[in-house]
Amino acid sequence: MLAAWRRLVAEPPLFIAVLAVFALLALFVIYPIFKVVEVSLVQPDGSWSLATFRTIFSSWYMRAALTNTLVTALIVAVLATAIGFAFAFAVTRTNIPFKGLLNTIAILPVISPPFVWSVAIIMLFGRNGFVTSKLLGLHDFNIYGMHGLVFAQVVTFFPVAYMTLKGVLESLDNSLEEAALDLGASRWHVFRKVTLPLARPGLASAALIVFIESMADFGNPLILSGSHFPTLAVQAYLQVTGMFDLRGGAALAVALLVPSLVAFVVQKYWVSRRRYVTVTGKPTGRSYMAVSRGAKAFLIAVTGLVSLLVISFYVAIAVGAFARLWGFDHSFTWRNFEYVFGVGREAILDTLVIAVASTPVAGILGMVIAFLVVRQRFPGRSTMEFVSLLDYALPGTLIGIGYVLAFNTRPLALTGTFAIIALHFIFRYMPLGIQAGVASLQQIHPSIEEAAINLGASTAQTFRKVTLPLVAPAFFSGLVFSFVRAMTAVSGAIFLVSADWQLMTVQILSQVGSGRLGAAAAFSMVLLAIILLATGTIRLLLGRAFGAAIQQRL
Amino acid sequence: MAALAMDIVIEGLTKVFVNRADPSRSVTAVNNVSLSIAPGQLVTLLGPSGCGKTTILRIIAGFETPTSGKVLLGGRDITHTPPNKRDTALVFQNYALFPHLTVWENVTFGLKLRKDISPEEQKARAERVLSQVGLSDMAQRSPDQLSGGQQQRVALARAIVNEPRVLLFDEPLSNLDAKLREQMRLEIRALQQRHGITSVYVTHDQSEAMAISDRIVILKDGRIEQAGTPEEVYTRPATHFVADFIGRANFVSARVAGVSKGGYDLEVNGRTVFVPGSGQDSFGPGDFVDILLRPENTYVLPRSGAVGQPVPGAGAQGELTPVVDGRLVRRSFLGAVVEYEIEVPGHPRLLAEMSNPFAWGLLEPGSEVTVYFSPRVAHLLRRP
Ligand SMILES: Nc1ncnc2c1ncn2[C@@H]1O[C@H](COP(=O)(O)OP(=O)(O)OP(=O)(O)O)[C@@H](O)[C@H]1O
Ligand SMILES: [Mg+2]
Repeated sequence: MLAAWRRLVAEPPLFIAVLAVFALLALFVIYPIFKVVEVSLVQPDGSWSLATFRTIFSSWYMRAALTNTLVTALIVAVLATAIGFAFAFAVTRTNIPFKGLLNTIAILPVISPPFVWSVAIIMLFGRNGFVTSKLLGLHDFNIYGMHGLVFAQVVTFFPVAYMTLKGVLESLDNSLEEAALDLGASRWHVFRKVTLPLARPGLASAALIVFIESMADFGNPLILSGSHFPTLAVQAYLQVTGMFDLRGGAALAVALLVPSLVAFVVQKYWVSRRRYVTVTGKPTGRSYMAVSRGAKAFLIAVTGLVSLLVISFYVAIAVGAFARLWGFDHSFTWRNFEYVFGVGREAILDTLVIAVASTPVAGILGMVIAFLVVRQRFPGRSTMEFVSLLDYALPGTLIGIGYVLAFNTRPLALTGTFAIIALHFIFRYMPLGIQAGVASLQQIHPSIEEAAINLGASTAQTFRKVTLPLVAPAFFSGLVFSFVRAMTAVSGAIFLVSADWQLMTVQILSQVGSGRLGAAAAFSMVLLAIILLATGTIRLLLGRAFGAAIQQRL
Repeated sequence: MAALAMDIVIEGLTKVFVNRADPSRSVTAVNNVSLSIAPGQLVTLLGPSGCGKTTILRIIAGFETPTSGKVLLGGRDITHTPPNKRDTALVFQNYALFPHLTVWENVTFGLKLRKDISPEEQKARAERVLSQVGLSDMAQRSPDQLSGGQQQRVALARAIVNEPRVLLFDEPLSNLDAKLREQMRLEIRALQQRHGITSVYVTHDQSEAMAISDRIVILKDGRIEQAGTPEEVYTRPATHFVADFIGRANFVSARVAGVSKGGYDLEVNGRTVFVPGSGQDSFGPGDFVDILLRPENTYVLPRSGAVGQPVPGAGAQGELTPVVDGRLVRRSFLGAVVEYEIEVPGHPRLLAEMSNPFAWGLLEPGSEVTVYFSPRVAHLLRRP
C-alpha cells in the first residue's frame, strides 16, 4: 500500500490523472446518485426516515408497479437469454444456412433506438394493426399490457444476450465437445453435459444483463404498458414531470436502483469470475456440428421466426413513415418527413450537436480509465473501476433524476443547458469506451508497455506513443457505440431536455403519445439513417482495422 | 569488497506476493537475497521454474517493489525509483517489440526520449548498433516481417543503443531453436563485453549459463543456494541441489574414517578410499558424506580384470581409485562417448560417461563391474 502511494507520488502526471478521474467520478456519478437517495430519505422537516417510501407504496398502484417491473424483468431475462442462446448456438455450432444474415439481424437492434420496436409493434399488432386487424381480422385485440411489453423487450434485448453468449460459445474450446463425442456420448448428451454446463456462467451473466436492461427500460413501457400495467421507470417519470413530486419520484427511482445494483454486483463480481474462459479468445475456426436434424430444424424455426419479426418491424417503420395514415390510408406521402424536418429540425440538430460533442470526451475518458484500471496500481483502483461503470449499469431514470437534483443550484446550476445533457451522456456512455479499452488492453501484452518505460518513457509518454496507437481501433469502435447510445438515449435524458435543447428520441415518444405514428416512424427513420451514416463514415475512414475491431466486439 | 566498487548491490531482497483473498496462499517469490555484481560482469540467475528469477530481475528494472530489502545501482539506492528513471535496459523474453513501429523506430524509441543526445548522434548510434546485430538493411521493416532470431536482435539493439548502466535479460533465447540459441548466446556475450555493460541474465538452461557467465547464482525457492564462477559451481557445488542442477551427478555415500594430510579417509561399502579436501570443508571422523562423482569422472571396468592391471589413460587423470562394485544394467553407445548405468546394491544407480570407449573396451550389460574415479576431481558433500 505504502509502496503504491510512493510510486504514485513519484509520477506526477499519473497522480494528477488518478486524482482528476476520482474528482470527476465523485461529482458526476456519485453525487447525483447520492442526491436521489438523500431526497428519498430526508423529510421536509429535515429528518431522515422511510416515510416517503411508506407513503408512495401505500398505494396499490405503486406496489403493482414494483412487482410488475420485477416480474417483467424476470420473464424477459429468461426468454431473451433463451433466444439469444439459440441464435448464438446456431451461429457458432451448426452449419445452418444464412448464418451471416442471422448475425446481422441479431445485432441490428443494437443500433436502433430501444423503443422503435414498440412503435412497430403498435403498427403491426395494435388496435388497427396490420397483422391483427388486417391479416387476422381481430378488431378488439389489445396489445397494451404485460404481454405487449414482454414481447417488445424480448425482441429489443435478446441481442444483448446473443452478443455475450456468442463470445462465450466461440471461446469454448470445442475439442472438449469432440472429446465427449469421441468417448461415445450422444449429441444431446454432449449438449446437456458439456456445452451447457460450460456455458452456464455465460448464460447467468447474459440473463442478469437483460434483467438490468429490462428494469431500466423506459420507452417501451411508456408506449406499451398502458395505464393498467404501471412500471417503476414510467411512474417515476410521471411523478416528477406530471405531479412535480421529486421526492416521490426519487423514492421510486431508489426502488428501481436496489435490484439493478444487486444484479450488477452479482454479474460483475460473482458470475463473470466463474467464466471458464474469457470471451476475448479468438474463434477457433472449425466448429463441430453438434446438432441432430431435429435440433437443427428447431433452431431454424426459432431463429427464422425471430428474424422475420425483426425484418417486419423495419418494414413497418419504413412503410409507416411514408404512409398517409397508418392503418387506414397507406398511400405514399412526404408529409411525415416534411413535418420531421420542419417542426423537428431543432431536435435533430440539438441531438447531433450533443452526441458529437460528448462522444469524443466519453471515449478519451474511457480509454484513460481503462489504462489506469488495467495497467496501473494505485490505491482505490477497483473502486475507480466500479464507480466508473455505475452510470451505465444503473437505470437512466435514476441518473436523470439525480442530475436534476444535483445540478440545479449554483455554482453548478446546469438545468436546461447543453452541458447537463452532454455531461449525462459522457458519464453514462463512457463505460462503453472503458469496456472496449479494457478488452483490447488485455490483449496487448503488458511487456510491450514495460519495454517503453524501461527505455525511459514516462507513463504519459508510454500511453501516448505505445498504448494509444495500439488500442486505436478499439477506441474508435468504443466511440461509435457511445455515439449510437447517445443518439438513442432517452430514459435519463428525458428529465434533462428543455425548450432550448431537444432530443429526437424524446420527440419520437411525444409523437407516439399524441398518436402520430407516421411522424414517429419518420423520425425513427431519420435517426437510423444518421446512425448508419455515421458508423459507415467512420468505418470507411478507418478502414479494415476498425472493421476487425467492430467485428470483434459484436 | 567495498560496496562502492560494485555496480549492482542487492541487500536482503524479499518479495511476497500477497493473496488478498486467502493470505495463507501468499507466495514468497524472493527470500532474503543479497548479491553484488562488479562493473562489466555478466551474472546469471539460474534455477528451476518458479524460483524467483524473473521477480528479481523485475525488481532491479523497477517493475516490482520489493517487500523488503534494497537495490543499489552504483552506490545509489534505487529501490523506489520509477522504472523509467533507472538506467537499466531489459530484454524481454517475448521481445516486446512495438508492433506499430518499424525496426528503426523501435531501436530509436529510447534515444528519442533523451534530450542530451543530438539527433545526428542518435542516428549514428542506432546505425552502429543495427550494423553490430547485422540488421542494417532491415531498418524499415515492421517486427512481424522478421524471423524469431531477427526479432531477438532488434530487442537486443533497442536495449544496447541507450548504453544503459545495466542490461537485464529474461530468458532471451527461450523462443529460439537450439542451433540459433547457441549462436545468439555467443553474440550476446560478445556485444556485452564489447560495450562493457554490467548484465544480469536469467535462464533455466545450465549450459547457457555456463557458456555466457562470469558468475552464476543458483536459486531455489527464492533463496540463493550458491554463487560462484561456472567452474566453482560445477566442481565444488555447495549443496546436493546445486550439484544436481548444474550438470549430472552421482552421489556415493561414505563415512569419514579418518582425517589426514589435507584429506579424508572414507569408508565406502567396506573399501577405504582417500579423497583430498577442498580446503573449505571440515568433516570429522564418523561424519556421513556423499562423494560427488560427475559421470565423466566415473570409470567402469570389468571386476575381475581390474585387479592389478594398469588402467589405460590413467596417467592424465592421476591415480584412478576403485570405489564400489556393481552390475552393468545399461549401455548406450553414442559414438564419441559411451554411457553406462551401474546398479550398486543399496545405492541409487550410477551413471558413467567414458570417452574414447574403444580404448577402454566396450562392456556388456549384465556383467559384474568395478567403478573407479579420480579422487583429485571428486568433491565431498555433507549428507543431508
Ligand atoms: N504477480 C504475481 N502474483 C502472485 N504470485 C506471483 C506473481 N509473480 C510471480 N509469482 C510467483 O512467484 C514465484 C516466482 O516467480 P518468478 O516468475 O520469479 O519465477 P521464475 O524463476 O522466473 O520462473 P520461470 O523459470 O518459470 O520463468 C512463483 O511461484 C510465481 O507463481
Ligand atoms: Mg521467469
